[in-house]
Amino acid sequence: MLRRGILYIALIFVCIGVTLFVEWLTTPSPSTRKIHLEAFRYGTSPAIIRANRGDQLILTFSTRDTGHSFFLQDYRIDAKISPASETIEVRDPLQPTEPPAYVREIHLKAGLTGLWGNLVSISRFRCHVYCGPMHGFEQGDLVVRPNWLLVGSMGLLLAIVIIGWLRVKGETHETKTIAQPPIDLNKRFVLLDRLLKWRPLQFTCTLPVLAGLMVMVLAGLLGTKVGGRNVAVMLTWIVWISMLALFLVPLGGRIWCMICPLPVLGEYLQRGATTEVRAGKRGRFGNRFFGSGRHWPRALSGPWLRLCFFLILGTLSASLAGQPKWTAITLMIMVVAGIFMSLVWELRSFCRYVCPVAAFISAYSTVGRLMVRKRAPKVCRTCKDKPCFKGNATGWACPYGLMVARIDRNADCGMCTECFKSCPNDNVSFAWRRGPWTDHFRSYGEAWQAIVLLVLAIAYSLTVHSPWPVMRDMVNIVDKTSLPEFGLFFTSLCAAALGFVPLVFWLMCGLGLWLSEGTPKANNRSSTNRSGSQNRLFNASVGRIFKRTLPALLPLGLALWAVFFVETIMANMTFILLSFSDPFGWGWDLFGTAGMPWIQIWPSKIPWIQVGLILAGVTLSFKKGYRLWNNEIEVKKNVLRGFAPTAVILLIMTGGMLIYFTHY
Amino acid sequence: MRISKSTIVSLLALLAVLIGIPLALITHETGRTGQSVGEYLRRAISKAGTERPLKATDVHVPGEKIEFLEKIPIGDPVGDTKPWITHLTIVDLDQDGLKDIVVCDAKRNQISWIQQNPKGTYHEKKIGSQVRGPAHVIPCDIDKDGDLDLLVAKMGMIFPNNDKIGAVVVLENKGGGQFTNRVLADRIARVTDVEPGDLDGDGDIDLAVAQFGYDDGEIRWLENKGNWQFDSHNLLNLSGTIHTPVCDIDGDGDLDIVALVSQEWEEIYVFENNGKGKFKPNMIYGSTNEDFGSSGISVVDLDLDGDLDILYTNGDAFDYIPPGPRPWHGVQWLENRGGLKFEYHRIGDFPGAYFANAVDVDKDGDLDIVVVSAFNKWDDPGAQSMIWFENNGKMGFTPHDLASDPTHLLVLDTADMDGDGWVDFVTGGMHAYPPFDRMSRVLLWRNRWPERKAGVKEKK
Repeated sequence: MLRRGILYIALIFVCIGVTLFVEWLTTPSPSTRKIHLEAFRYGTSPAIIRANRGDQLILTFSTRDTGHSFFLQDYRIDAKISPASETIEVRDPLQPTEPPAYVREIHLKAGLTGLWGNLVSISRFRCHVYCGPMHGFEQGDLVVRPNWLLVGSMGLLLAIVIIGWLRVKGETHETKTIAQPPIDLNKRFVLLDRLLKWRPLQFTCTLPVLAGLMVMVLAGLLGTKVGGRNVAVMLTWIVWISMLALFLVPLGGRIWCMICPLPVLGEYLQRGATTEVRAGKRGRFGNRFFGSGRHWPRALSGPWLRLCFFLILGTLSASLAGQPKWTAITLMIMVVAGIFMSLVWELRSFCRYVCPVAAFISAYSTVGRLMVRKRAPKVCRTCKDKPCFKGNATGWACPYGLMVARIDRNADCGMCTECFKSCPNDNVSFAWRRGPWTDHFRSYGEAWQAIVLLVLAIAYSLTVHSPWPVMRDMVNIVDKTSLPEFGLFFTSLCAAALGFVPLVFWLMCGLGLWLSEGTPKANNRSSTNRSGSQNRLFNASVGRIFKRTLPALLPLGLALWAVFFVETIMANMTFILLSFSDPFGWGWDLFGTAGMPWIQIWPSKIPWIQVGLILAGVTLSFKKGYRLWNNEIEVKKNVLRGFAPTAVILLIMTGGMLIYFTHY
Repeated sequence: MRISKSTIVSLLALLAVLIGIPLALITHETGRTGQSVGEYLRRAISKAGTERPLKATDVHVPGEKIEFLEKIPIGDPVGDTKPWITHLTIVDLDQDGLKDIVVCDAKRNQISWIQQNPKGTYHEKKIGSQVRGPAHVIPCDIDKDGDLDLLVAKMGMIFPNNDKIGAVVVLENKGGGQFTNRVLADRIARVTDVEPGDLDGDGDIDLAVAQFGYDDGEIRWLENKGNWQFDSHNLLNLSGTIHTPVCDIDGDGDLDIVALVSQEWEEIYVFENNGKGKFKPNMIYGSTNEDFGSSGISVVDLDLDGDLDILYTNGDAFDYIPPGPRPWHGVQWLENRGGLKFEYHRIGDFPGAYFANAVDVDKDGDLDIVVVSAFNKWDDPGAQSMIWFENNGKMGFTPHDLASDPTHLLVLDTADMDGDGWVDFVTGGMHAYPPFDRMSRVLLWRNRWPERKAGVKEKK
């Protein structure tokens, strides 16, 4: 074990060391270079400044339209650029109270100093003067060679592949670990158990969030139209979504759904109650409801509808983030849709079939740690009334149409806690997962959902966070892209997310199936599985293996979303504090942070964190993918062969994104 | 049906969220602006941004052209630079009986004095040391030593910038044409206007300060404590304030502050003085168009009824790409109806209207309005940069063309410069955007009304 550990570490050193050495060897020696940057709405030309460590850069500036700034925090430069003027105002963003200097050019030595500074190869520059609705997306990069991050990450990616292969080769059945059972939190903590059974719990949790939503809508409608100064934009597109991607979903699964304010008004109307339960008979349910309580059309069930809404909302999100009013209107539409649907269809039809956010939460909640599960299957089997599903005098019917006995994954349960209240046998557990996550997709819709989310995470990073203005302009329908052009982009994105990429994965699964099928051992496995029953794998269609393999996309997908939001939140942290203190941009200062200068949190470390997340994501994806195939095939060689084509695609995607984020 | 205690509590909490929060906000806003709930809601609901492009036909303001102006460049020539004259004021600075002009030159970052001496001859000289991004200058004997000092609003940078680089500067007149810079407030959000007046009734001169800022702006007044010491009092925290003229607008004998807040707010406030420097804000006008483009106000008794009205232009286009006119640009006045109630009257459209001055151009006893434009559609050689609206004596206004060359006229002041009894105009050019083929720096437009030539009446 120790020897293997040493071998792996040595491998990592070798892989990284070789790439670093090559990069060092091929980096030219420093020189002096003059670079003129022309700023415009929303970008600079050139968008990327490439230099070698030690280069003396002489930067001059002009603007094509209005005033802009060249905000390069790593180098402590904030240069304000005016039209028809060669003079720029330069100040140190970390010392905002110091008087500025007025100069015609900036002299800069490429590469930061110090131990950490020597590792920094990418520094993002942004605009620090509101120059239009999409000003927040104006950015470019200073890339300095040797680009340690790029080559190091590529070396590490190679090491991950080799170590993975070695681990698989060295794996025996004996080395397989037995998964630890989840921690039954409400059994362990009595107070939590009481809390979960406390009727007003959800109302109490939701109310402050609803108040926050109300403030956000009002801020969007009545407050400043400067997105970075309006709490509607800051909370919706930065804090909320980032928290979901970075913490809430990976740790809490669908815990957000418990406090989500969007559907609650509709639910209160549907139930005719806020905290109480109304027992009675309504169809198959043991509660009384208002509204027509129709069944949701079968043709529209599944994740397809909400996935489409996610696609639309996500693609529009950059433009919405630039416009507080439209952010507020979007939130209002979602609330109104929730109310309307609650009165027409039964239960939480909005959350189950339409909510675009649920498309994201539902897919990635699979990997979440918090979960609602049955305690003893036998108790559920003997339970005749199924009050968790139907509701009773102590709890409402499950708003998600679930029976606790059948919950074996996080994707469907919104953790509303009604089943804790309705279960007469105290058989519902609020658990913390310790073992691997349950890994199966029940439908093609779910498999497609994983692919679409992965593609969108890549697409949004390539557009919204791109250093190239042409890429960012594609998603800017506020003042750059015309509707037909945007339509073309959206159509292409849909074609890629819903058609091309799924087709590639489908073909890779088919190829994997074919590769593993060709071995005698696999043929044996095709007749029996470990329990001796008829094996389905080699009788199954490619579609089935496609559904079985694609949960492997979830870790990488979630990592790519986290990568996207890490940059968003670290770059905008001070704007978040600022907008909390002055939510409407009306000159308030509730917490004393309204006038604080804009500073990004560790900007030089953002690409490093992003690279770390991507590598962690792909490692988990490889691991998961291998396990998924291993569940089906006993022979390791065949497992590897089966998963290899899919892994290659994941590897290509990862490599591409690493190159993109490290900008070579 | 029995309603439980928890249901009642929850319903009350829900009502507090759904109704209480909006009500609290509306109450706060009506308190801040002095509007009624109805007025506030009407404006909030109808408020919208719009960027309908200007039609080509809109660049010409129709009306009879009467040629009566003689254009004379004064002060330093344009030279190789693109002039940025951000403000100018006509004043007899040396008190020799001849009108001079004090100029804010944001390109040179300098206040300069175009001295008329002898009559009809103008020489420009720099006064004081550099002031970066000067936006406004006004004469005032702030130290009460008998000569005129200059109050300067320093923006630090004219173009967008949210840094605290503004300052209130006094060029103290030391006599003999010598001025010394004194900074009264420094490192504050960009200052666009400083106006003098005894705001607390203690006999000395205090200052009303407009701070445009960019994202963070402010209106404050500086209380003169003597010996060049000033205490600062905040009046409003909004970005975009351009002008803060000081006047007794409510006719109660003390000086109030009128403030034009542009940016996305597009509002005009009256800070009503209780005579002791305590101000109550009243929003007397707020556009429902977030892109209205407020560019300037001047306070004048336009209808000659004995109270002060507000003459108001909207034609700012600094934030458009390309910076060009919009169909709603023009001139209006807010008629003082007493009790801080003002009635809006549109005078006329004028693309890029930047500043208006009420003056009796034709000496017919009423006040006409001269307007300059900084953001007309300059690619069109016929696009006007200066027009005037002739008052028919009943507050009916007829537009007349004045000039299309030079372009980009940002500021205007009027006075009888040559002592012939007819009011002349002085304009300043701000050439930050192309085209640069019809540039000017400071121009004197001599009024030769008795020798006027009537032109052709244009039809729109």
